[in-house]
Amino acid sequence: MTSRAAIALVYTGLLLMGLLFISPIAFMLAGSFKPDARVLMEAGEWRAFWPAEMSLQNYRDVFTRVDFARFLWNSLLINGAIVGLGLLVNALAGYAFARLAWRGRDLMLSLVLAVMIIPIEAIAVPLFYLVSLFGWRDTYLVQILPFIANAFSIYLFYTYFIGMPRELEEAARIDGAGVLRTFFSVILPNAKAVFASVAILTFLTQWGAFLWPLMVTSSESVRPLPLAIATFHSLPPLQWGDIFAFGMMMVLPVLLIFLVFQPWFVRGVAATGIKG
Amino acid sequence: MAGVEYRHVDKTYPDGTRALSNLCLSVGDGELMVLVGPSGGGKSTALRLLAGLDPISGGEIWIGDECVNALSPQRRDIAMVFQNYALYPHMTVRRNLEFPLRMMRLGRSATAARVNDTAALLGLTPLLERRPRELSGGQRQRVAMGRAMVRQPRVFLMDEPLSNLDAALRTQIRAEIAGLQRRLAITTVYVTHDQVEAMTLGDRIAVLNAGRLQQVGPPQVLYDRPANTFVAEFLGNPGMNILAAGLSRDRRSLQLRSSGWEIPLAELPQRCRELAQHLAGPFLVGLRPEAFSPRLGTTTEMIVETVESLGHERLVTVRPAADTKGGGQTSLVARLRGGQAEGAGQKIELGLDGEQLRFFDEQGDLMG
Amino acid sequence: MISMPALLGLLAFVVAPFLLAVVLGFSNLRLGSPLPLEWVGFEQYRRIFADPSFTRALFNNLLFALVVVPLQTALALVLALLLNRRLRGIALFRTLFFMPVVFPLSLVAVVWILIFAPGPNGTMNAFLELVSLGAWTPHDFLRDTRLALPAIMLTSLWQGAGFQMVIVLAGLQAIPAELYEAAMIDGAGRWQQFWHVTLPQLRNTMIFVVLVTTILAFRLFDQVQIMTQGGPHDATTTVMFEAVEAAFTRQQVARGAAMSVVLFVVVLLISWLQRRLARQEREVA
Repeated sequence: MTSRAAIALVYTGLLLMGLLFISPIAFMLAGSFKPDARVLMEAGEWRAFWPAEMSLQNYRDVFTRVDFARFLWNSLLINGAIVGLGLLVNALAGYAFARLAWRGRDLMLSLVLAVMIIPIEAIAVPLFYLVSLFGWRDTYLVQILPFIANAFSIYLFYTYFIGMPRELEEAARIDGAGVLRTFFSVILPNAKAVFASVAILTFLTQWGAFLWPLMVTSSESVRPLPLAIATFHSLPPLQWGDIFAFGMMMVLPVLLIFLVFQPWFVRGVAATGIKG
Repeated sequence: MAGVEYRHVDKTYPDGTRALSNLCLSVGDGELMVLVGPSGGGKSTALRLLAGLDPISGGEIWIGDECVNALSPQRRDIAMVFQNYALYPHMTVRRNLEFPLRMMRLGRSATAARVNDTAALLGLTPLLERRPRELSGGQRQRVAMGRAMVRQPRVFLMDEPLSNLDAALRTQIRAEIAGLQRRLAITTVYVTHDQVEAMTLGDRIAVLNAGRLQQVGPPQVLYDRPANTFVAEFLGNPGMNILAAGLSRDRRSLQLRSSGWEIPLAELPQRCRELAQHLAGPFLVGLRPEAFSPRLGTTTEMIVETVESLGHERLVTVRPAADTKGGGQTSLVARLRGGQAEGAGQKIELGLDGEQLRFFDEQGDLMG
Repeated sequence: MISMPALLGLLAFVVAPFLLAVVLGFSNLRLGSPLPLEWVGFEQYRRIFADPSFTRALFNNLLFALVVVPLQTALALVLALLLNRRLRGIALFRTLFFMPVVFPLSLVAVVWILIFAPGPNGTMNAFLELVSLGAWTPHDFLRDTRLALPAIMLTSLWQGAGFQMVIVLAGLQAIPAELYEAAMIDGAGRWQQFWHVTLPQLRNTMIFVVLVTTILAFRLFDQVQIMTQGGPHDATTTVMFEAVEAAFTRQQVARGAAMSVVLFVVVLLISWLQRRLARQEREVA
């Protein structure tokens, strides 16, 4: 059915688009290994994408100029807490909505669905005011706590659990397991896909969080990477090689997770569109 | 060991569907009770209420000498085999069998002993380290049985446990279940929509329709003396033929109105004759397909509509030749053996066995 | 109750702040201000809509949506169509197109500052000169009132297209093969199959993609903050940028809250529109 010419056309299209998509990344990767001066000098030629003299000097510079390890630790801690606690809390809520009968469930479910469309941007200002009142600014907690409960995660868990066959849980209950026991030893092992998807989706959105940390943190000791790179960029002297090295190290954890868990990743993202 | 008793049990689902009305049914200790009926009849609801999976709307359910209404499933000391087995896919067969025992906090060695015994009993020993998806349908079914048996519950609940198997396997496992149940003598409530399964398995059968209990009794009693036309038509394959009937004006013959038969009362057994003579208005008669025969008493001319040959017998759908309007409403099914196979459109003479006549009033309830 | 932690979290950190935004929007609250707190009714709203920077911000968001949404959706569709076949190396290309999505926006913004560097040595300038065969004269994109916003648009397009592509691809793969087979037997060619099977079947997916992209357009902040600080001359300012400027930099919490409410109303309108469109689809089907 597919002729040779058509295949050739498709590949040409893919290659062309692929080059356009990869070039900024290649630019950054190559730049991170180049001496600072050459990054800017060669930005307008093909050599922008090719480090003629490889060196790790930029990466070393990042560590001497700022406390990169600190930022990385902050980001890992904040994201780890959000993802870990978020999975637990939101999965339990999703399960309660899907399977348990309790007073006010339907009302609460519509609340969750309504809350789903409120973006963080729309509540950042009043939330900022609130945490200022309580003197919570500049802590890890203020960067973690608001993002644990997540309406969209609850919704994803809810739809997944609703779709699971009931018999498994009924069998577990008859076999003598209580609600929590059923959840942890029967539901959880059979819902790894949705847990992976939600975990990755949460991690992806939170790893790049910028607006909220910008508003509530001021000291480097609790700031995460996305803020750090913005400040690093404005930190004189402007050295693009260092910035790129910083960027590469910042994106590496997500990139690794992405490459390893790609199927779940793609499924998780696709799941966001299935609701339509 | 304990019996089960439903006392005036009602169930209305939150959406207003009334699934069960005033069910009163008692299952003896060690008895195998089959709940049978069409889908939506309430049989699965009755089972789920007994399991504690759905809350009861009215009445009481007793297991042994204990009202279990308020008990959660895990505290009722029951075991259940699900239609699709509901084996835990992430556990091996051994872990599946252990699970209920772990929940009971049974000791390690006792657990292992019971699992091994059960596995040996069901021939599962070589499969213990496999996972459910590596098993065939019949093997999965056995594991499900094993998981129910291993905890030695007071009551077994089975929800259409054979419906996912192919026909040959179904017959085989049906016999195995019957054998095991007799041997273990554990009270069992078995739900099926398949009346053959009900007839062959049950010590007694309870027929449910539209949320109401129609009749309870041993299979043969239900077959011979169905309490109403629903049970009459539901049991047996094909079910009983039900015809409108009346008496001749001179009260000397029974007229099967829709089929054009007229049977002299003198030909009928004494019991029927008396019964018929007491009737004033129109009523219904029921006839099993095997009540027909080409050479019996007064015969009537019938036109053959279809013939299904099963080898040793034929199911012949006929309509009375007198019924010129035709139309399927007056079709009768006769079970015939021997002789020449009929052809569609052929005219044949059929008589019937008066002993097998059943009389129902206009509401469909059995008389006499 | 096992759902309590999550529900409490939502109430405390989403619902409460949201209600607070509505309340604050009717006040004159400023952090550290000596003026007493007063209820000023719609005064904040009157003021922000009279503020040329804010109306410019709304206009910029709208313009951004009008340009980026069709372009990004079309790009996502093209990429997904290219990828939706069993060819050697497809997985590699899928990974490639999706990769920018895992890059944090702040990093992307910083990298693209250099791509948009002024002078003939700037990557974008050099590229445009190459493809226009020398006709392009170098510009300082991020300091040019006409080019700054398009530059941010391009950055966002690059980062976000992969996300939309994956959703469209999932939508494409959910279309049953029988539909194409039936269409083929009915004599439909490639183009007709696309027109009569693919697009109608993809309708709800496309509506969803458009919705998400539009809402993202109105939430625009990170790139602006890092690349242009809203400049030059408000050419790239956005509702969110103005809200943060007001509440954070100038301590005018009430003003920022009012802007947040405006943002929310816009998001609500877009979602409502999507619901309506999607529902019509279901009634037809």
